[in-house]
Amino acid sequence: MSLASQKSSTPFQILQRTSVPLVLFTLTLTCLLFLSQSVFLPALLMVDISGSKHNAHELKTYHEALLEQVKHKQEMRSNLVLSMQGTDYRKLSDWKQSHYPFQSLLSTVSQVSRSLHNKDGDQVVFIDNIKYFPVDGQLKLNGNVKNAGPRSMTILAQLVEELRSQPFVESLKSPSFSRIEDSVGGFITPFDIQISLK
Amino acid sequence: MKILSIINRPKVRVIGLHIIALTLLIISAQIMSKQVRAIANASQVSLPLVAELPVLERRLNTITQQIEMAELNSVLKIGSQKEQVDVLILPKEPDFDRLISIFDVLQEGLKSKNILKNASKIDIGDPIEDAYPIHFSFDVHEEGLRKFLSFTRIAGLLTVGDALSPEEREMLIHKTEEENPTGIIALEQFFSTDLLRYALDSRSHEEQLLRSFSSSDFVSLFRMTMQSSLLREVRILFEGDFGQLIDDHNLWPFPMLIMDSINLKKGGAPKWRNVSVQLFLYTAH
Repeated sequence: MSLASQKSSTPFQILQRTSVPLVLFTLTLTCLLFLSQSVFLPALLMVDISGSKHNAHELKTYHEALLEQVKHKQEMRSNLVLSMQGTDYRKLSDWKQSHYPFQSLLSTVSQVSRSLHNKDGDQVVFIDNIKYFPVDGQLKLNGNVKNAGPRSMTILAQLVEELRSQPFVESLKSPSFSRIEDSVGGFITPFDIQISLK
Repeated sequence: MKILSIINRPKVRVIGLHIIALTLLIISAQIMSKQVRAIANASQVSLPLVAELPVLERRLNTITQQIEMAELNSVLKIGSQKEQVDVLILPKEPDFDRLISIFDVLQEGLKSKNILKNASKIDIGDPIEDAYPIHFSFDVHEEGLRKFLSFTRIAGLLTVGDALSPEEREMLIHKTEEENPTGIIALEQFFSTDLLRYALDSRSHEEQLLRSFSSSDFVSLFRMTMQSSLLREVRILFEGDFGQLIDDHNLWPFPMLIMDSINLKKGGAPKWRNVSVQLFLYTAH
């Protein structure tokens, strides 16, 4: 009888028999999950910090608040350690300190110009005039490339690239490239380089 | 009645119950994924935060203590420094006599070493807002140029702390936190040391500070800062007679001078330059 009835079960009859247990199972599962979501999980994920319990979200907020407080206190401490904060004197002295020291600009420019030489090792870049405007952050170089034969324009291009790669350079206005012959048949490439400092 | 009869139909009941089961399954899946996210979040966010929070709390505590100590100490020093700034560095009216005397002493010091010559007269222009343009030119050897540039960087600064960049100051302050929080007092005193007094006897001022710190980390950071910062130029500028002469003639502190432009041309001999410079002498509002 039972075998006969099983054989004759239609898909609808199977669905009819499983519907109530399925609903009971899913209902139990949902209730248990809901219980774990609202009671067990928060209790398990709570962290004890200095005697008070925090969940993940509160921890993040507390962490951000602590970082903000540390930053604020650091500023307070710096202001105390160095007097006259917020005065004209402090503003001017900080502004003065923020300018690039001309001495280090000068050393770098000299070093770069000395690093370029001809095949005999002779100096080829000659800087005649250096102007520095610290307030505007401008550096102007004026001079010429000589003793380099027909490579004088290539040497100038190398000089421009070397200067452009220096950490203090914001932008460099490329000079015009020209080659003129001097009285003894050598080549000279004059240049006028304008650098905006960072 | 009609609705009840529809519900009581076997087909409708089976489909309804399956729809309810499916809905509950979807809700369960959502809750489960939420829980998985919460657990993943706890391991990725909460655990690193838990490790970091006690460190931050200790740091906050240390900084708060340092602030309390620094507050007590700072009350004593502000008055005298402010007076020097108001009278000598940023006065309401510029003191040109004093400025010319400073240039005279500097010029004579460089001339006596044969590293400066052909100094022009000093032109003082009409003020632009609070600043007077000052223009002059001279021929100078590389060594003299270094000293002159150091002078222009130092003019207007009063204390050791003023000659350090904000980054250099912050590095040293931060190190006290790790090494010896109470050392903030010694550091504060070092920062408020008069720049000329420091330059005339740099070693004793530095050693006085280092007595509060025993770790080699702090000592090496401190020595590095002393060598790489403007303080090195301060020591070089005031070494020899120049510092003593400035002190003897009561020409310290220098007024606030800020460079507007400098023009360097090739000089008449190797390592010599012709320098033309414009500075601004600042006064108070």
